Amino acid sequence: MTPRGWLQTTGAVVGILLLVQFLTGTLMAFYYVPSVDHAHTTVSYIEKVVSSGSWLRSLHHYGSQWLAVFAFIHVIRLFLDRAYTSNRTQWIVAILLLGLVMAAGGTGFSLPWDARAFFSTRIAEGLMAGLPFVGRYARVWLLGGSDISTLTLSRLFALHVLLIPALIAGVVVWRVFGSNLARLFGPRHAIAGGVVFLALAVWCLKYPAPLGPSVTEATAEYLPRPGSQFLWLYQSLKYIPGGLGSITGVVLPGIVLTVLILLPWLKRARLIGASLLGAGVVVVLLMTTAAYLSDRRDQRTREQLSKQVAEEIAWRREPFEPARLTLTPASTTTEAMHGGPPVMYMKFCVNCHGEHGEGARQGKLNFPPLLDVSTKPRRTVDDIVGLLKNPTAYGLEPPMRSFSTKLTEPQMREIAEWIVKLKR
Amino acid sequence: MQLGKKACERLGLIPQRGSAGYGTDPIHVESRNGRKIRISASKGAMMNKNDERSRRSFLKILPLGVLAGVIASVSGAAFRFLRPRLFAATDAWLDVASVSELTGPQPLTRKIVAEHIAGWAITTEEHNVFVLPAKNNQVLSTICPHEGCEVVWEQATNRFSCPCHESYFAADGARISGPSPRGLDPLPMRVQDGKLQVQYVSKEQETRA
Repeated sequence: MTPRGWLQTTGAVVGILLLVQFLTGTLMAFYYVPSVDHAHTTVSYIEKVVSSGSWLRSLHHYGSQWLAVFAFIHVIRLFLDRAYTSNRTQWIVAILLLGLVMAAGGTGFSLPWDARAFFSTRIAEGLMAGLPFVGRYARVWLLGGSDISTLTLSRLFALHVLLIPALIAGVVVWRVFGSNLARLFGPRHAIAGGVVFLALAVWCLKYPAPLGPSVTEATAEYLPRPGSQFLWLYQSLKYIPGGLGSITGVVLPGIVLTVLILLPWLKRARLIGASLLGAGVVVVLLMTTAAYLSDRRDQRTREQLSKQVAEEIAWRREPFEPARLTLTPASTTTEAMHGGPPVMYMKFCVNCHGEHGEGARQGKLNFPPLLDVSTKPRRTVDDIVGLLKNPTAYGLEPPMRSFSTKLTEPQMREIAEWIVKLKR
Repeated sequence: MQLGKKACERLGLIPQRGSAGYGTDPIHVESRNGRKIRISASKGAMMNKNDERSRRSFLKILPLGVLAGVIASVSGAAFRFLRPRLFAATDAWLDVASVSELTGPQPLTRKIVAEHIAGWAITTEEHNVFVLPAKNNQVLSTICPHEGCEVVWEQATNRFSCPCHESYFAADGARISGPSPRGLDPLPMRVQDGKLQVQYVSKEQETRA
């Protein structure tokens, strides 16, 4: 078998890696919650508690990076084989897949909601904001508002797990439909795909996907680094003056991909494709290498990065800390069970009688304290309920008024039961 | 059992017309129940070498094998990954009310607050229970033994009723009518320092018992 023959298997490798992404992604959706208060907790739960969770997440994380690399190699291989003339579907599918895989990687990086994810979201925000003409709208549409919020996470989640995978699936079906499955995935393809999967699986057993503490615990010194498929962009943005970043990160790649898709219909296709892909390879290789080198060379950066790695390892060793959820109707009293005032007390009584029943004075108005009120005559639970219905019957004067229209009997009882326990 | 020729081509079991190897050997594949299926790609063609045949069938099976291997290894992990974590029934004693305030002939509805550890969250949930002062403060679950809806006390008719399928229970919890197989279930209870306490038993644990 010639090396040339083995090069024909790039498509099958992309297919296998896509399969792995779909399987592992679906599995993680069984635990993940896309909201800023639970995203990081659920990812930590997958990582620290669930059996095989760390391995499956690592497959998804590193798989996405390998996928980008192989999708790129696949495009180059098809170009060398002149697939844009011989098999247009194959060519267009490969270009679309490359774009979609990068989009999936970009949106997925935000989801774990650690410091790394947050900065990735910031970059996505910046890239959208810098787009010519539509920047303002693109930014708020991506964020779901004027700033990064829990809606942003929902949007990136929907893009990452619904829209982009659906497009990928559509593209793959288009490619597979009507072709001979045995040709698409013959013995040699199987061996190449199997070897790559095995390598990925072993790699992921050894290296868990990175996950740091929640973004809320991030320090100002934190140095964010993107996934390796975006290192070229990260490094390029260092050399490009602000505002032009979006051109490099979104517009130029978009134009390049569009031209490549149109290649079958262009004159001088060979020349155009070769220069675009050649430039792409040079930029990606050069910038990725530069990114690695610049992190190695600068001592302070190196120290901070290794400190971050140490912090992540330490955080990983800490036991998982579950979130606390309350599934009780707001009108009732979780807090009361733990000694706090009932919800309805906080609504109607607290302004005058104080949070702890300490009372208050406003000008000449004197709001009596409720502490030790149960030691006074006619102040049992039943009395207080009666008093809330009809204060004058208990000798009280305005501003104390009747709450019979505001509170239900159980709510009054709840307040009364809390009040009689108040002691000085 | 014969497969259509077109289908065989599509599945890659036989070479396509015009491609190399077309019209040479018939191919045997194992069907799902283990019987051999003979695919008549070319009638009358004779098998020359056994090893050639086995090499071919190995090459046919290899892609499926790799695909199955990838899916199996992820699925094996998936089984462990998705396996529900059974948490032991919580045996905490939960406060219902002070014994002193539980008086009168009527069943009383009281709330208890229970904590459940479920996956990544500790969930605080509130449940209603019925206390029967007339029956030595027995505590009844509000969960209908039929399908698990929450039973309510109807003051007017002096009975418990289930909103889902019209089961009715007397003031002491005994079944009156409807599809419920039995009366309302009593919960384990005790009195500690003048407080009535219960252990909360969920429907799921009930069914297991």
